[in-house]
Amino acid sequence: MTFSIARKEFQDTWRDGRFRWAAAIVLLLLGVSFLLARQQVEHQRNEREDATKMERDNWLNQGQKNAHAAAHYGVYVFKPVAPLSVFDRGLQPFVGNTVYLEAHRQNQAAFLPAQDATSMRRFGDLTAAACLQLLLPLLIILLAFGTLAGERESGTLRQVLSLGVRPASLVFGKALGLGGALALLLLPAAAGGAYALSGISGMDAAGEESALRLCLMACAYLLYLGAILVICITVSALAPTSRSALSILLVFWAANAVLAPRLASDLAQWSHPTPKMADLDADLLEARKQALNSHNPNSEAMKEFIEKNRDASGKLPANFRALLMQESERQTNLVYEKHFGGIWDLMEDQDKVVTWAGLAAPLLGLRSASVALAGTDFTHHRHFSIAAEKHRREFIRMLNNSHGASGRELWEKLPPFRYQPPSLSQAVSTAMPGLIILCLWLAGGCAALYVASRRLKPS
Amino acid sequence: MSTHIFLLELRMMARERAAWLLLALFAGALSYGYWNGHQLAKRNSEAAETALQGSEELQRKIREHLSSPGKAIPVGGRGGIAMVGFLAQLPPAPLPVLATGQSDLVPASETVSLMRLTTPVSTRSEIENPSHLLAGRFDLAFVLIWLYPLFLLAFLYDLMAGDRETGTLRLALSQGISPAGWLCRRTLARAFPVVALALAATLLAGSDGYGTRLGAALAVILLYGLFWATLAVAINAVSNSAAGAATSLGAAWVAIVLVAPTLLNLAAESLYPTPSRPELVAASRQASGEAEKLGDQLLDSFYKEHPELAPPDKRADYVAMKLTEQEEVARSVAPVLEKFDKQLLRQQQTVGRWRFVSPAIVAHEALTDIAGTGYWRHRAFRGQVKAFKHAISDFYTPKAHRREPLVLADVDKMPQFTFQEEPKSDWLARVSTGLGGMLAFSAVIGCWALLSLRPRRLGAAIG
Amino acid sequence: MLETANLTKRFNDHAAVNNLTLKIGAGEIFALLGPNGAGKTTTINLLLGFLTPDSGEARVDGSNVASDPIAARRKIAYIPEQVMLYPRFTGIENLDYFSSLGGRKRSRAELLELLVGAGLAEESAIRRVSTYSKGMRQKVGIALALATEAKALLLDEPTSGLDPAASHEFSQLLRKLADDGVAVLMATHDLFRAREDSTRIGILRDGELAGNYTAEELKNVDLEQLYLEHLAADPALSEGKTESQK
Repeated sequence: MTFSIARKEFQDTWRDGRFRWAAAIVLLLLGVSFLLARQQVEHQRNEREDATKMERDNWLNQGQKNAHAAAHYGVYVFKPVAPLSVFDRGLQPFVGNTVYLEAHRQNQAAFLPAQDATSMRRFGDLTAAACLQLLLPLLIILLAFGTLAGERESGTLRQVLSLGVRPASLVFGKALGLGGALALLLLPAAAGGAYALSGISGMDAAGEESALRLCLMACAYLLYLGAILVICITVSALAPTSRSALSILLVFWAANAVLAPRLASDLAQWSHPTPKMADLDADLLEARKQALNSHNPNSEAMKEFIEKNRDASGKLPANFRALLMQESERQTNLVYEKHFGGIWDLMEDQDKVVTWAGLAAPLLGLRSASVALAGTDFTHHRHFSIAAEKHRREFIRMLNNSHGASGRELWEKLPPFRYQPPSLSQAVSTAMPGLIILCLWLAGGCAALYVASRRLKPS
Repeated sequence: MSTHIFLLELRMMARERAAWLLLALFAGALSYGYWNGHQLAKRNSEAAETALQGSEELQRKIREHLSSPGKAIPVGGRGGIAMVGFLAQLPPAPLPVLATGQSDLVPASETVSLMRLTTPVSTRSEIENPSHLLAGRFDLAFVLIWLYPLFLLAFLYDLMAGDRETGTLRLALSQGISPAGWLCRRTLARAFPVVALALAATLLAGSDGYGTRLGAALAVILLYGLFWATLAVAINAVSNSAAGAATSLGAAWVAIVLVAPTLLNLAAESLYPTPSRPELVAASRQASGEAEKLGDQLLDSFYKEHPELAPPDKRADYVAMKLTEQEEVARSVAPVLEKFDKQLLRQQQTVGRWRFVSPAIVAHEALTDIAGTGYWRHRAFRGQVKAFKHAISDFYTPKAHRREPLVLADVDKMPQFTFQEEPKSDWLARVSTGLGGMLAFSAVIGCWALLSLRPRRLGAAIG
Repeated sequence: MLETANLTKRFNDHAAVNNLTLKIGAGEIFALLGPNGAGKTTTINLLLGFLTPDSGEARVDGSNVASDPIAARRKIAYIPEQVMLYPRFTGIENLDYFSSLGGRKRSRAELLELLVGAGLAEESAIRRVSTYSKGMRQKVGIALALATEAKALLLDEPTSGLDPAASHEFSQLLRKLADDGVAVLMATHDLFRAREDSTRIGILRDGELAGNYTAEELKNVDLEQLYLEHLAADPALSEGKTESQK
């Protein structure tokens, strides 16, 4: 019986002109977003590769200079573009993509793409993720708001129930049928996505992982859309009229898609406030002053270090300068680890608040999972920043241990920066809270649907 | 008579509990948006104040030091002016509470030092979680551009369709009133509370003076509301049911507020792809590396061209060398930078040219322009910072080359950054053009509505 | 007062009203009988200007309806079959609203008088219309018609769904209006009321006036039989003569 109802609902949906039009528009937007995103990612990858090559040449051809001068000359590294950003750009426009590695100072990633964008940036991006997160739920609402309320109004519900159909079979049959129609719609979307991903060259070791990440992302989106579908049918079953069902669902959509992201951000900021830049700068400056600095011979820390390294006869060791550089770097690194690490921890705590706010708005759970799996979330950015810093320390250590050497031979000793993104298991563990929230929403939605079926009134 | 009908329509609306709930929600959203904007404005203003205090303190210290007899500050060397950072600060926006715009994304200050005029580092701004930048701000502009139409449509989606379904439309129109006239009175009454709240919030946000800006902001809210009201009338005129009207209006909101701006951004980025910062950085570094290699050669040829700047003992000086290299880098990177800047400008000009496809874009651009947090004010700031860098270079470079220290007499001649606001006529022209476009769009829809409400066309639906 | 001259209205190939010529003078009550789909409501819509005729014309007090429907509606009072009102408004407020739309503002006392005059109890008049029965809503409709002070009244199935007492009340009001010189066109299925209240009866079949009789002519005639005979589409009956008159 459930399957007959599902089949009828499926056929009915495909014959509905509104569904065909709306589906065509959503598919068109998805297609456009995939095509353009693929072009953009390919373009950005080529750009970064060219810039990386140029910068490597700059480093190798910087000529004769002493190691310390080279340490101040520094090296730029550029963040690679995550392949799955064709689906979900996530934080990419809002985090820096260039890190300057130099002596004595840890720099944050600079040059946010959003700062070089038009004022339309604040309206968001037309990505596949945005289409699936915002537009497809509207399509589901359009299909499902009248599925039971409308039948009640037209009198067909009374007729169906009078035939002895169990209400639970009816509602779950409708859910299956509508879900089937939507799933069919998602097939071209998935094909488009696979095509977009396949076109991006240089997948390297992350290639297979990208396919697995994509599958997990698809699961997350299916959980989300499934939850939306069962919620819509529940509301349709319980609302007195189809008009009130539509109103309730549109309010839910607006609250979920428009209000929740911003309110959750404000909540996170309130619960874990970020410090002012001026205060952070002042703290950092003070901490650096206290720390050992080879350019500040009069500091207390320098005097202490000199005293500590004098031998019994009061002489300083032959490699004192190298020891000084090393210790100076170590102390500066600790200062930055504490400060930046503190800020990064704060941001991750804020992100956790937003994710768990997904218990009130499923979109927040989905976004968290989606960006984590796409590799465009803050955890991935932090991972890159830490990798860049590790490379910087290696580069400084290499220069500090150069023992007076200089020139291309020395510069070649520094390996090029090769970034390995976090593994799939790391990404999954970050995405897990979001996935759990989506499962809760789907389970809760199904439970609510079952309860609604028990209370289904024919008129 | 019209006033009497208007009051009766208001009374009818007042009898609906849902109406009060919606108005309370809208008032709540406006209040929250206002408060959020106020907090951000306060933060930015405090940051600017702190930075300016630091700058004033620096100036005071320099003056104090140079006031002592015989005291001078060298340009190069330890404690020299070459490494001192001079502040270029964008003053707080005129109406920051109205719209956050770019003020949480783009830095409002830059520290300019003689030795780092061409170093490609980004300037500092307040610490923002990128996830929050992605989600967007719940400010007054968000409420006015995104939520205001939703609340208006909640009151206007069933202007006529419901009456048609129940039969009151027939009775109403049989009294001898034109359908358009009846619908307009009803629309006016139903839109009035929402529009009044939006105008009140705008007034509050603009209460710091700036009469023209406030007037312009009120005009934006009024005309934006007019657009949505006209659209609601037109959709109601052709819809057979309230649910149909609600669906069509919802789709229109999605298309105008959500999809059109992202499509326009996509189009601007596709037509004029954003140039690569990494490539710009790498090009600067290459130029810098090449200039460094030229070393003494560069300095020699510089002094040949500018003998008046040659130092007395003709010896190479580190600062002079670096400044010459810097100039060489600036010269070779200038075309790349210009291309970069032009591309970004073309993108924004595309947005400006095509903003009329969506009143939401027009309203957003207008509100951020009026608030002083939009693209153009920040662009003007970046241009003036560039000029300030030239002024710093023009003032200190000759001293560096001639090894002339800074003395008390120089203090009043030291370049200071003072931001010149855009002439009123410039931003007003942009806003007025946008509003004109929005009005024209509303007029087209209004004509469509009137045609749909002709007795010949409407009669069949009523009969 | 109410006139149609060769009025025709087609929907696709079907003539809903075909060459209809009617003349209803002041004080006349003309009952237009006909089955569902005969064209009664279409005729009313044409007289209200909700539809534009394909040929012929409709006039209200000399004004051509098609050329200025708004002006024509101001001369007509109309009571639909279902008088739908705004449920959150009281009877007085509904009357105030609708009569204001027609450009007629009245004081609360006047509105109350009109409602009571139409047969609605005062305590009902100040209650919300969501509590009203069909008859009570119809009384508001009548009060509205009285408020317009129009010289022509169009009624669409006015007694449908009314109990005999309410129906009788309605008749009395109708006669009073006619006595005041109002021209009344009443589209109805109710043969009993048609015979009791009207001064003339027309029988509409497939958009055409198949029969047009005065009350005098129908004094001793079985109206139901006559009605059914007209509907049987017998050409001999198309000139409007009764069997007994042949």
